[in-house]
Amino acid sequence: MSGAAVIITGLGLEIPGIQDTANLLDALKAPVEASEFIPADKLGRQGLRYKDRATKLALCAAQTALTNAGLPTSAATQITPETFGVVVSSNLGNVDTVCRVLDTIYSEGADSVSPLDMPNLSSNVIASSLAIRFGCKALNLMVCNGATSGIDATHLAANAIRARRADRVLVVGVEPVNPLVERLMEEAATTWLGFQSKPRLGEGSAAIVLESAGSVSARDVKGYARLGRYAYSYSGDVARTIHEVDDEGAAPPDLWLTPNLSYNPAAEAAERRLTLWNGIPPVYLDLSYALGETYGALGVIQCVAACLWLLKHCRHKAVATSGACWDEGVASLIIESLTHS
Amino acid sequence: MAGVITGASMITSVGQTRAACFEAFCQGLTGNKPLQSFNQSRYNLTRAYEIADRPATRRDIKGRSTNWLCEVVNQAIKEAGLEQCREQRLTALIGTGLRELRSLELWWADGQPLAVNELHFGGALVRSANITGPVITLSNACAASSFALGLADDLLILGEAEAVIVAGCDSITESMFGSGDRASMLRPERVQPFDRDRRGALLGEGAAAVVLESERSASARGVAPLASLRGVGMSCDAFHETAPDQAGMARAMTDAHLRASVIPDEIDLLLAHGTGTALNDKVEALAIKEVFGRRAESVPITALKSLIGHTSGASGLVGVATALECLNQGRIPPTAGFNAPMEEAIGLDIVAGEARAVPVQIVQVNAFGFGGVNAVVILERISR
Repeated sequence: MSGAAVIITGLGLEIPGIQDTANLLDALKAPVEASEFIPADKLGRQGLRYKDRATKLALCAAQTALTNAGLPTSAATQITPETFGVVVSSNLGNVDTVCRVLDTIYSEGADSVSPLDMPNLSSNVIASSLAIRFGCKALNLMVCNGATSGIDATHLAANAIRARRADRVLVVGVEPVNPLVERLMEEAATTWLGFQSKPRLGEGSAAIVLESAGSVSARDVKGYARLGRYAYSYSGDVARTIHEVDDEGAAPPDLWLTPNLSYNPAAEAAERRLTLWNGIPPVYLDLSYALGETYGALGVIQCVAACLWLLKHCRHKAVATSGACWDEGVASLIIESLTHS
Repeated sequence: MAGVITGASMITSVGQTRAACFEAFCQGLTGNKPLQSFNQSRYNLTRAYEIADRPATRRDIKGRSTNWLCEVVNQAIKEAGLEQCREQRLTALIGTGLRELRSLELWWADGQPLAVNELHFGGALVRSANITGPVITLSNACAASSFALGLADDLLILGEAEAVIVAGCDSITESMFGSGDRASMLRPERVQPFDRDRRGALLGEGAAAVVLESERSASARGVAPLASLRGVGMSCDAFHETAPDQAGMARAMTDAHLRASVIPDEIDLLLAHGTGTALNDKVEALAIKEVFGRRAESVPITALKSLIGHTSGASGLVGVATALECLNQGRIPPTAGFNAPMEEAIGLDIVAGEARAVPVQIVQVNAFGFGGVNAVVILERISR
């Protein structure tokens, strides 16, 4: 991996039931009760009418992260838009639109399809909507890679900065909850994976702003943390990915953001293996205890949680692990504090 | 440090291998057929460019796109000679516009079983092709597989991988077909890119895969590359959810030229995005004229969608697999159905009628998608 530093400079959350991004760690102490989501409170009414729920959640989280990073939140005033990219992770954002449009076609024919649904049929509508609203003209990616998507997206965004495709990238993870999503995930949990009950799903979005070291110093901002190594294993080998990201001889991580342990026997086993951590286990944080299964959004929420936790506890290093469930791969990523190294 | 392509494959409505597709393209054969599976009474459009692989006993089955993906990836791995070197950890990047949303539709409307992880392709691909590195699905509309190729190139440049499988695949969903039907005023029966009388886009089905590896890895393995990847440019219009934007397209082309260190005068062939819609072709032609200047009048341009329809996220890599044959055979397939240029294409050299024999050293492949996502690939022939 190239040594070029990639720094997290902005954090944003939009999780109905959590008041404010800074409240995340406090909110994790008990299961979060979802509250009503009113996007216009944050974004105004303009341009939201035909956006799907996932896009609106993503726009809210992104706006908070941009403000937190000290960046403009309108396309007209965005700085160096040509070097500002977007990478989004979501799997379920448009599945309800697809099925609803299909129902219309089957019952009334294609002539009755609303042209306004067309953008939402394309799975990348979230990423392009963010680019249009906030003025991001460099690369624009939509990662739909299951439970590891959020970690994968964050790493691809970091690589885009390292490969000089962008100086800044807005990374957003988002999953909506609706009856269709609930049915799809329940079938996956019970029919395919043999779980006894349907999963407790968590709706929401998280956003982080990544910047090159050059951009950080040019803007004279502080930043929360730098991104380190990434590793992936399709066979769901949690321990292998942690060994791969954690440099031998370096300080052990202070915090492990685990995959959803309630659906994840493999990770639970890894957690107990002290050898994995050279005898010094980190603090474990399973976000799904409070937030439920957040699927493709999890990796980005983990990045936000890692930054807040490292800051609060004046600690150095976190490792975030997503996946190893839903019969999918597992991915781990290192997040290191800038201020407490 | 340039990446090289050591294996490549494609499946389209006109062929099951790269060689078969290219031969059909050069003969001007198209995959244009009446709808194979969808109930015609629901639609005004009557034709598409579908792959004829559905079983006779069932109207439609899930997982067709996944099946093509696994097939093209295995063909590409075989050509690259990588099935014997499995100590090498392969990464796979898959670009798709519509994922397995057709399987979601069949789950929803036809009761066919679906596990949520079947929406993307990782599990099936890992089982089929024994990929042991990261497997990542990107859903970047109609430019998806070209974006995947660019990110793969970055992995080589950053030293994160020695060999990457890059693939694209798409089957037609009824929701997207129906939405296109609703938006299509002129009800096209075929795709006629850059033609004065073009009436719009029709969807197609296809998949393509390449093995991209470092020159060092290919030469250590003693494999002769098919072409070298000079660079992939990317941009986002940040302009409109569905309409194209000349400035965004031009920026992706310029970015590609900079990354590839080429100037328009050095480009011998342009595989256009060319969807056959009134707006895309107009805007693309103007963007080509803007970036290529005088060279726009002499660079040969062809548009594969006239032969195989709009294969959505697969189209970029189908273009790349085709470009490899253009480079190595010195032949350019014709743009089918092209009779007379639209106003903005006057002065462009659209290859039409029959295949053209001409040496090609450097080729550009355009791919532009919904959401204003643009990716442009530059490939170079390897002199022997």
